Amino acid sequence: MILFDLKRASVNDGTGMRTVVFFKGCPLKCEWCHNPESQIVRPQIGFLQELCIQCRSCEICPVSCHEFTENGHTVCDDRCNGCGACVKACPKSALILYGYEATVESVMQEIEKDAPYFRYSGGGVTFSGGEPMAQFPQALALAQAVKSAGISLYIETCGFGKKQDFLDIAKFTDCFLFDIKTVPSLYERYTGVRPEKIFENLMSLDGAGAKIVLRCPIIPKVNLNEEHFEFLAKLSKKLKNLQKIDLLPYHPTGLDKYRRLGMVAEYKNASFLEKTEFTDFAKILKEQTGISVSIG
Amino acid sequence: MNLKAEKFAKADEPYARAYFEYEGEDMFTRHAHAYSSMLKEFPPPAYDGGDFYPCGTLTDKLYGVIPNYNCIYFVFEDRIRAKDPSLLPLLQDEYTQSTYGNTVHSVAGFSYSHSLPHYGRVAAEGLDSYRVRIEKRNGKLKRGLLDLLDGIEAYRAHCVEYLEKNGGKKQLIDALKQVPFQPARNIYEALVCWNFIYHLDGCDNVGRLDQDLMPFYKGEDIEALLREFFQIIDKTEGYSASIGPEYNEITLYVLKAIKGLRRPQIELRVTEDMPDVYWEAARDSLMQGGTNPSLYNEEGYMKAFHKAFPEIPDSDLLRFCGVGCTESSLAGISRSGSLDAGIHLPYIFTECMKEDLQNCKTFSEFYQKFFARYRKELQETLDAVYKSYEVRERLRPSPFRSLVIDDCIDRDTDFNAGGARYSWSVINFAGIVNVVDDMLAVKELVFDKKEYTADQFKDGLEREDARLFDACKKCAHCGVNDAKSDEFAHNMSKELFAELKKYKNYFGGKYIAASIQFSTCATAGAFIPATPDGRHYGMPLADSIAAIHGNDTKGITAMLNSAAAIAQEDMPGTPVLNVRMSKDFLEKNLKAVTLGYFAQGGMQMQISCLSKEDMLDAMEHPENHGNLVVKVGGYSEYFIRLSRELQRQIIQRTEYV
Repeated sequence: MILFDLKRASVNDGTGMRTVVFFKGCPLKCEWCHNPESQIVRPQIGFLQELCIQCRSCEICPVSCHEFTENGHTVCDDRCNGCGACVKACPKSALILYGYEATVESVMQEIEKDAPYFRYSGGGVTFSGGEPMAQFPQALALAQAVKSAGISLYIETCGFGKKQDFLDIAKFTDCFLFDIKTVPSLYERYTGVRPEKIFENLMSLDGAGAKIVLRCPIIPKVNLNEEHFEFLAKLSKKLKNLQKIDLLPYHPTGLDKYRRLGMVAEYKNASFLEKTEFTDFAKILKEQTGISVSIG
Repeated sequence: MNLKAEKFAKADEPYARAYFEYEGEDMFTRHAHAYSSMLKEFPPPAYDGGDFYPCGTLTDKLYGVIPNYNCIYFVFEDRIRAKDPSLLPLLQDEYTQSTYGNTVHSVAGFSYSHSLPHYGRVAAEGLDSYRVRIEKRNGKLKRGLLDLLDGIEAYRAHCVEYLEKNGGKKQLIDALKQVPFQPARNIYEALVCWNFIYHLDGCDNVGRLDQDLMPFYKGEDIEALLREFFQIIDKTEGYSASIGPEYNEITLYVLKAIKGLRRPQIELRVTEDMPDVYWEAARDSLMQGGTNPSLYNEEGYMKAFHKAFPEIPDSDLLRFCGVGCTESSLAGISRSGSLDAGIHLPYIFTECMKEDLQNCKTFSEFYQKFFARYRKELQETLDAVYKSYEVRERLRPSPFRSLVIDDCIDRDTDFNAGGARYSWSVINFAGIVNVVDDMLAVKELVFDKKEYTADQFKDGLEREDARLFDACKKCAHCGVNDAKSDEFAHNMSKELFAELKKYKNYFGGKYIAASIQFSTCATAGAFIPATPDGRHYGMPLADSIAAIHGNDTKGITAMLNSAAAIAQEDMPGTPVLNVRMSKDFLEKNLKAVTLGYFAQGGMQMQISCLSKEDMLDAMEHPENHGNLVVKVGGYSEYFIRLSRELQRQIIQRTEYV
């Protein structure tokens, strides 16, 4: 499987302390995506120009990704094979390798290091991304290993994938953190995919008895409006196994990463969305659904 | 009265006067007489209208020679000089003979010891019963101890008289007529007794509060009383107290009363099944922005003690209590030798680099050279400690501690001559994490990858070459829970600590390992050249067993797991781990991170819960942050009292959020 990170001791991705496994590659292209390094499956090189001292150590690259001209150092990421030689060679840590090949064994080895903390906090593992279901066979194998080790598994998903894949992996999953990006009519515009399959998967999981938490990024000028919250309330009422609704205020921390990757961010808002700007909506949502609503 | 005694009498120096009055007598009797005479003349301190008396330290009275819990008496040269400069030469012989030299390995102290009286026994039995025991034992300490008891009795009577004349509370006067000579009849009298003994002992530690106070407790609300007592301890710079592992109502009162206070440093002995109500109280106290309580792994400590001291019965081991910063002691029955010496590992490493690296063909050879130097330095250090004990026994008896610490009376042996039931020595290992990282870098860059020759490596370090530093920083290191680094740290630390087992201290007791760097990580680093762990010349060493600043890049669990890889089961002396957490993180995860760390062998966690912004503001405006308390090594200190370097270091400490 290709991962782009493995973050230990996370306290914001499910109950207790959790190790979050970030799968690389996502079928959606949300305009506000704060993990642009997660969008394509293959490894990518991030370049922090301000740290580069032009020592050319990175020219060790076997496929010549690094070019030095009178305009300075540029990285031709398209050629990158993800070997990481340049990252190791760079004395100033100006290069970051986003994405690496991992095996079920190697990931489990990392996961099991925190088993005592899972036990005492009621935590475990969360698959995130990118989109874990975009690497379904690998995600399923890892899910089986996590469950065999007696560790709780949450999966954060955009919901895009084959229905049967979701139902198969649900057998090893304690809870799905299911992203709801916008009202269905705006999905294609802001995420690049049509929503039907996503909502069908959500209902199928719910029908199969899977526990669900809705995770809803709140994005100014996209879904910070009455229509979106009304939709969330309506959707929530349909779900039998909904545990909670998480409202996640927009933050601009991904913008730097776009720059490092030589990508252009479509959603350029550089301000943090204050929780206070939608606490009223959150309150109404809670009143209408009777479901716990958290912000943060 | 002889000439020397007369001169000190004229200068109103009762301790020194009485000491010279008994010239020719044995040292125990002389010091007991000195302390007793001083107490008989000691003016009762001012009364503040509170529930405790006397308060303050014996140093508050401007005598030039006063008793001291560590060095038995202390000479304030400036005070003596101000009174009569011709007195100083009279003390010279006494003073210099019994003062021990420091070495590079002193680190946090040399031949220094915190300990603590058997408060519970004094409160339960009363000193009158001690008098009976002393007379019955009829040994060589008898004269001195009875003399000392007379002095204490006189001082107590002066205190009562003073309170009666100065509006002392009736309850307090009545209590002081009862304790410490008669058994305490209730929790208030027990606490008054505690305070009185703490005051006479030189304001060191207050012991096992909930366990030893419980026999006097009858269900009263003692939160306010405990807080008042703690405020006295804070003001007098007292050190540690412990609570648990049998939790009771007093445990909870202690946790509530300590909120926001710097001292005493409360050590909460944590069992896996400690009820949530104590977790919540501990969390609430820490979230006040203070540093209390620190958390101790009950099972871990007992395991380490069983391993080091299989001969000590559990009933005595349960009396475990930290003293000073957090050094291990058995309350009221041991001499802890809490800072007998250190061993400065980065110093040894840099010497090894300088002299040996170029002659080594393999890493294993270099590693063995380091250990050869370590063994030699350790032997020399322990030899010096041994000699210092001999001097102590001969010149610095401790009558007060012989009175209040078991079994000095029954053995008829002075505390500093091995009279306590147990006398061990704590050796403080400085820079363990530094040398582990140093070794890993040398192994990788010089021997495994051969990127640098020995000369290039040494030269680069000396010049603090940026490229070499960058390369060193990329080497394997502690703090990220990398399996190979952690295994190396475990094996190396185990090998270091094992060496101590070859030695016996002056009393035939054991040397036990600790790592307690508190503010000394700055001073211990000040003269050490740049090291391959990325430290520049003169910069502080790593704080105790924590990862080097900035190396803990994989989150709190990785940092904790790496710390747990140090062979803590061989460190009953105490391995300090300081951790800074945000309030939000602490609120949600205190129990899980603590128990998770302890489950892997971590022994203790010292937590600071304060924001970087507050600390930065305190550097700019210290006048606004007088109460900001941080953990440094194992002890709590006001942030504004620390050096700028230490302040910066603490701010750099990773805050887990």
